[in-house]
Amino acid sequence: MRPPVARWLGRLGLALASVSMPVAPGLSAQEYRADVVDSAAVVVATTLAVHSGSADDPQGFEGLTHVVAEAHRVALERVPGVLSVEATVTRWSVGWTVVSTPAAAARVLRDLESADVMVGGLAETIDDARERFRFTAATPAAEVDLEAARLFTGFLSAWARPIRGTAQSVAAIGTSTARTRWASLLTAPRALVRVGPPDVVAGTAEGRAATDPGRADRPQVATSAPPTMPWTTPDRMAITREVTNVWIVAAFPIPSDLDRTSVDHLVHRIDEILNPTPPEPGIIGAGVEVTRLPDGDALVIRATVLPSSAARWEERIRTIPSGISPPFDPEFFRWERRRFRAHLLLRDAVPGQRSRRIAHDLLATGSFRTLSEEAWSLEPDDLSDAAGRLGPPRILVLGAAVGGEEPAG
Amino acid sequence: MGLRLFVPLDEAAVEAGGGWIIARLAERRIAEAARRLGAEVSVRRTPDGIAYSVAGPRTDFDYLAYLLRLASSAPEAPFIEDARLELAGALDGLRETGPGQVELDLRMRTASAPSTTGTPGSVAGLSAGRVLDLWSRTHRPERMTLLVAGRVETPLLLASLAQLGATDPTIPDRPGVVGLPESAPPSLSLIRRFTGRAWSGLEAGDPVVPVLARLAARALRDAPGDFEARVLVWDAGSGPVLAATGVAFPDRFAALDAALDGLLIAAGDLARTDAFDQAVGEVRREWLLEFGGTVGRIETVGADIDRAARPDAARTRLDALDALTPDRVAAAVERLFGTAARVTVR
Repeated sequence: MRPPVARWLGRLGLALASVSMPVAPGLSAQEYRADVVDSAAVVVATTLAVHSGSADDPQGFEGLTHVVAEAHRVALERVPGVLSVEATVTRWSVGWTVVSTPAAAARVLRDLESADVMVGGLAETIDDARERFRFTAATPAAEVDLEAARLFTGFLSAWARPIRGTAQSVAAIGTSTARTRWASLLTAPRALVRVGPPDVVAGTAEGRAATDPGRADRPQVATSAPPTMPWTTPDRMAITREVTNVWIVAAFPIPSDLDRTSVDHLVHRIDEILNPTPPEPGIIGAGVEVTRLPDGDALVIRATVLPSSAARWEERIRTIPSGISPPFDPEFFRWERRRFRAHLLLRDAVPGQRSRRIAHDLLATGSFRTLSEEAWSLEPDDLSDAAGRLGPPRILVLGAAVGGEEPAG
Repeated sequence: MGLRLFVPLDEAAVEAGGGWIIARLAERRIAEAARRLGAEVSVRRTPDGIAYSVAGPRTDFDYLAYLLRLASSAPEAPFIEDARLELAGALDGLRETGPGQVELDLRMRTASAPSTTGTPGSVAGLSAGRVLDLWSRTHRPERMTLLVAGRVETPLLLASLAQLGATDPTIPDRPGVVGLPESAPPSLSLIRRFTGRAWSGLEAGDPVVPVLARLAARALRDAPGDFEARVLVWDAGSGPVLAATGVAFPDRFAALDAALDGLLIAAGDLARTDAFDQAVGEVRREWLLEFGGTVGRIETVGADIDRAARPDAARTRLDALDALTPDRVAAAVERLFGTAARVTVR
């Protein structure tokens, strides 16, 4: 008889092997594998996500993971039948999502974890990375990212190093260093997920039936530890630069026990507030995402604004979560939840985005979500509760003539 | 789930551009309503008609059906003039540049049916009444094709879409053939010279077309001479047209002229090299990635059904690409010899 998790996955048209839950940094290597049947898919999306990122680069070799990620991306693009490859490096993870023809899916699966694939052009790729570095490292956006990481994780933290390294550190990277780093990635916890048509992915383990995932039970993960968050005190850092715009990055710590879909709902709501139609005056661009930090997750809002409206936007961003409070107009919430649900499901309808989302879910928590059910079960209180439980923000303001006032509250 | 409603259009010459206006107003009409749900929507004026597509969660089917009804409803008479001015402005903008004059002239010379964006003469005469008549004549339920991606009960589907399109039993007549007064393009004060060629005789959906276009673009990149040139493909009503346009200073114009005159031969020669596999790979990549996402999938499959009137047309097109050989490209090049329309603006 199959174990409960496998039975549950079988009903979803999924296969998952070598399950160890939950995943946490420092544990022995876990490998998650999921095959997700999408009967409407024409292509196959395969994601390899590894629980080790730029924060694990050795000192003096900052940018090593980024170089390895690029080398592997370039090598995978050469595989016949590969349609697109996307490599993503964060401070805690690195991942590749490959969209391929069904005929190439088996080779992609093999090559994603193969050390031989990238060896051919490794030296050239490292040279390319050095060359690109000359044009991208000194941009204001790169400085904003680095200074924000320092504010959120501490100046001496490995998480506060530049993801792409420095000119000196990238120059120090050679092929043998890159190979060693690649070998270390293959021993880290990782998730390998495929989304594709049934004739390609259904041949694995139990994942044969393509059934409606909307009716599945959720896996139960017992948690007894008290919730934690990355910090409990606010902070603010202002850096003046002779540039034409002002960058604002605000991170709100997320309690460790907050439901992921509630957090996603909050992200969606804040994105709607930041980006109305038509756009509000004074703002050039804004976005919101969940970022992993050494001691937990944070909801990070990034905005680029005109200097004349920087103070107003900083205050606006600081108070966004407290503004999401009940009572909600029931009609408003009904539509808001429908929009969020449509956003989740339409995003998941794209094979590459779905495989990346499931791999990220698995790597971060050891389980993955059935989004249609999760979104329907949300109540108005979940949204305001999620907003209300965010911790005090740490805010970076970088730009022309930025103020230096102390953080509120 | 996704829904795609296709309405074929048979614009008379005096109505050319009317479908573009209907599509433009539909796009504006549903944008705000779609935002309310977070649905994905698309309105496309294709060579054969207008395709209205919506996608969202299956549980929101009622609202998706409403969006489709809203999209395909009658254009608002007060806004038709705004859209007409927008189209006329775009055409005037093209005629005020050398490349625009070359492209417009080539399109008119190779057209076997009115252009989807009309001509300056047809667009000038598009009154609100004429556009509404075009909508009323074409947006009839019996002429429409509905493509559904996802599971929905047929009675529910039919009930939700019962009020689609025009309900007035009186169908306006299609305007007859009349001569349109076309104004001469404005005289341009140009420093460089512009020229183009357009070849007709290709078949819609034939993978030879995009592969040959890529080979031609590669041949232009490799051609000697100091000029700028690009390759275009458009639908002329009876099938795709392959075109190449370019610009050069007068003392370098001969090299451009020679490159365009020898373009088919150069592209045919490239088909015998590794460039053929590379071009096929690029086309395959582009076609397969079009299937990503719900709207992309129904748009792609729907467009193939519109063209070939077969539900497996998309699969057939992909299979034809896999079976394509350099000999087939060479045969297509042979057929195109002698069909070139030439335009030069000095």
